[in-house]
Amino acid sequence: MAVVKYDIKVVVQSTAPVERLSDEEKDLLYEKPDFHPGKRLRLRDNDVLPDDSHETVLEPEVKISNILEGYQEVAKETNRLLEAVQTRSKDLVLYIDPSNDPELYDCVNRLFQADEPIVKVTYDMYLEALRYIKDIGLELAKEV
Amino acid sequence: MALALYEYDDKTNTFVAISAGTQANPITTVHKDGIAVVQKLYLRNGDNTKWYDAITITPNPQSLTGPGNVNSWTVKLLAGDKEPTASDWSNRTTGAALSSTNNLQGASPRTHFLPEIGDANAASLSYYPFWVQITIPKSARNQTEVGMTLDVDQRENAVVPPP
Repeated sequence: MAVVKYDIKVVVQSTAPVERLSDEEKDLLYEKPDFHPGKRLRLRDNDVLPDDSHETVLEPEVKISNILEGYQEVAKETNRLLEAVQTRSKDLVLYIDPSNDPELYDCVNRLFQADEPIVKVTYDMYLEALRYIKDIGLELAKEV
Repeated sequence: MALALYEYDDKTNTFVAISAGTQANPITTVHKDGIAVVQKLYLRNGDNTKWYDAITITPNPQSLTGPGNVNSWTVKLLAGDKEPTASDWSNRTTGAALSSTNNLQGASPRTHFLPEIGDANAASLSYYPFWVQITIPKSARNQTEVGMTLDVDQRENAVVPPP
């Protein structure tokens, strides 16, 4: 007798992490990128930062696109970046430039599934994005 | 084929046949934030002139790579009426098939086996329960995936009642 294939339908209804943010964090998320009330985090030498006495500069750092290119190195590199960021103030805000950092931009927007494109993330969101990238790296490393 | 998969509808208190290839009534699991979903299903013969042995139920594929190649979606099967514990599931191999035996009492572990459905002397029209667990990664995006199936193979035999 022929094998009978019974249908399976898997429905994913993940709560977007953006929905778990406080109202204050959501307001921050949708602010225009040219407005920055607090401290900022710089990832790379070529990031353009406006003058701000509260600015926090973290460098040199790992370029996200480079992290994604090296599957075997992803977990290690991202761990280093995570450890570096975790030592910083929790009110940091990171602006993401889609043209400069398309991988991070894509990762953050896929992860948080916001209604509008995200160009700005809070510290906690940034950490979650890094962990997401790390997960991708670990899985890809397994496949290599 | 009279052998088919069913689910029990609590609202109507009836067994409902799972569709095969039409998506009319698929085994449906809804996952929120990456949780594993467990569902009880039943295997049943609806023809009192037939009995079945050499039955296997196999997830196909055994696991599915999700969008973005992030982790895997996995399917596990365990037999029995009692819902498996978390430990039962963790000890079960992803994608392993359930297979029938003519000695279920002697099978070990029993949750890895199904009984033969009926025998040469008499058909069995009972519903035989088993469980399916589907797990997806927490990072999976909102979506609906219909690329997986439960494949049922068997040998159909005619019932010959003793004179």
